[in-house]
Amino acid sequence: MGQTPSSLASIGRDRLEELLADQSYLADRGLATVVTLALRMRKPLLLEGDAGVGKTELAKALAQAIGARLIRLQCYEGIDVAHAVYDWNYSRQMLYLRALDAGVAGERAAVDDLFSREFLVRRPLLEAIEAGDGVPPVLLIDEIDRADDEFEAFLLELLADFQITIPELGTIAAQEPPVVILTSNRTRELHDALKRRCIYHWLDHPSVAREVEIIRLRVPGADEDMARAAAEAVARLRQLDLVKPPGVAETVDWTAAVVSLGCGLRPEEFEDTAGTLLKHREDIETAARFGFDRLLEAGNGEATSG
Amino acid sequence: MSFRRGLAEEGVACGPSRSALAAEALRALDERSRNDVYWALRSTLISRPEDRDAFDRLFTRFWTGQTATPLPPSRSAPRDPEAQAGRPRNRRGGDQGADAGGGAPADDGDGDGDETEVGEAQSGAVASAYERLGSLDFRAYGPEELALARRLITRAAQQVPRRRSRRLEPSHVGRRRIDFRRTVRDSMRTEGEPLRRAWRTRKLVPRRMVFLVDVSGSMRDYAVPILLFCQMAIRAGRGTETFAFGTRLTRLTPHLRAGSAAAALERAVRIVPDWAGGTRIGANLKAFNDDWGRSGMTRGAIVTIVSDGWERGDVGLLEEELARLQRTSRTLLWLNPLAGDSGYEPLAAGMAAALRHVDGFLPAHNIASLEGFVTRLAQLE
Repeated sequence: MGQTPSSLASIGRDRLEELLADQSYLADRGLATVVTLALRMRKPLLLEGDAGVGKTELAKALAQAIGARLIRLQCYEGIDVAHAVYDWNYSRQMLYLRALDAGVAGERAAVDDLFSREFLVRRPLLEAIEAGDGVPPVLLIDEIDRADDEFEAFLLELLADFQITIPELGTIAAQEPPVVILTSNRTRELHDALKRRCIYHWLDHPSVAREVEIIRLRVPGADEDMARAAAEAVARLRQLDLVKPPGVAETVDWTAAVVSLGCGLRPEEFEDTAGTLLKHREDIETAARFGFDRLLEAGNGEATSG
Repeated sequence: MSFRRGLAEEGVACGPSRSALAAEALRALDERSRNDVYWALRSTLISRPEDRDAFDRLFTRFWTGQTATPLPPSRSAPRDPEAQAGRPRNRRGGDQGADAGGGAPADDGDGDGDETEVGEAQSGAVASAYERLGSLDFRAYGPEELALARRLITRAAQQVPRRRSRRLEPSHVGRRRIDFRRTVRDSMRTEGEPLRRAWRTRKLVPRRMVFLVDVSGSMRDYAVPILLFCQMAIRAGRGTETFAFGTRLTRLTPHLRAGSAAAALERAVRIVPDWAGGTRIGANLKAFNDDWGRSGMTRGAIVTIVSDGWERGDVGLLEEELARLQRTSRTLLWLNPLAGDSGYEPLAAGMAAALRHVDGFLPAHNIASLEGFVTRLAQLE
């Protein structure tokens, strides 16, 4: 681990927590410890958890916190090297070939030109590898479970040595390996080989107290009472039997909606803003059956433990 | 590292490279407080949320200094009866248990012919044994039949259906599009003139399949051959998943995939805590929908429930969760071993309700019916 940039490796857990908090991201102790370890050990961090618990958000906050550039690769089925690493600019290549017909250059030179950096289109992974002077970038590989096996295998290789071979140009290696964060929603199990290379963390929904802090931080217009009422209501909702329990992102959206409408958290008006919190018709019905008034009752302790 | 062995005892796979990672994580810590050590080990030794409980139990013991005996008493106690229940029985008798008898109204009609077939298969030539095996009810299977059936079941399971992927591959036929990369490359050979165009088309990949297998008492004679089928489908396909359920839901995919097939199947049977127990189909479908369906596992997938439909819980819940499953999956099929009997009628309350929400209802009592199931899968595309 001698070659790691000392600045990142020297960040202690408490300092990291502060740095993330400065970016309005409140990490609990477990997450802060795990991120610290990932930075020190120079290992990719694999985050899993329900949608909306702040996986992607962490990568953004971390990049800001350590003053690094964020490079994001959104995965999807069928993503391949041309989408993720590099591609050639074919239309420009074609035009160049046409220009050659006029007999501008010799043939040998023309071929070299055609596959030079001038015609190279950089995609996120190549950018992440080439970006490493000074602080390495944060590379977010989002929703890796959506990509297929072939891509996962390719990624495995890339994460091992952070170099890419482009046949026409040669091998490009990263000067500073990027800080890698992978997220997965678990639509499928990732290969064990990939998991073994990573530091793993499962992100849970925050406690009520923590969620109150998050709301206060993210929605400046919400006072302590409103934040507490919202966090408790969401905690109760998560205990109901919902198709999609709201994540932190939804809690923040909902509170922001309530603040911007200036209507306050009243049972009569719950349904007006419920669309920011519950995204399934059945869930709004379930909440209605439970009772909007019970949902918004001032804390009697029953939901504060979660 | 004894901690790693403890995890293995709990059924959590954990290779040596992980303990190297864990040791590295421990070295990277500033302090070795309980909390820090916990997170360093947890983030390196396990990588599945369902392993967290086992990890926590073990860590508590580890930290409080009881590491000399990392044997989990919880699992090892009920191991023996489970192992026995998992082994297919040699002969079928009246000992199916009170819950099974009630669950199978059509149970007693088709049994008589089977027993003579067992006797013949044991003494006959292999070829004719295979032939006979095709129509032999799984209920009449002993260890020999299961061993013989392995090959046939594997062959059937390998015919998983395919779908068009978003991934492209070189091609000359079908709905193709231009492959610019190869076209430009090839034009180098013709002095920069793109004379020949290269094409690519969307690749065919195995369609994801999800099996939910009832392993309650009334299904126990069918569960092992069915799980063998699922195991081979897992190994042949990509992203195929198998869950067992009785009173609770157990994900078997990783257990069925690892190591030698026969050993893996035995291990999987041992791991199910409620093997040959009661059934709550609705509650289990709900658990599946909440924990796995919601995150997208069923999207575009063929979901197959294998059960006799004997619901001991709330039929309303079963209907509701089936409807939910049907909405999120591409196709929802129900295989019922009892449906192999010609006189079968879906009288069980759960089964009658279920038929309203499934896209197909098929028998699954012998190899021929599994082959029928595979044929049906092929027609779905």
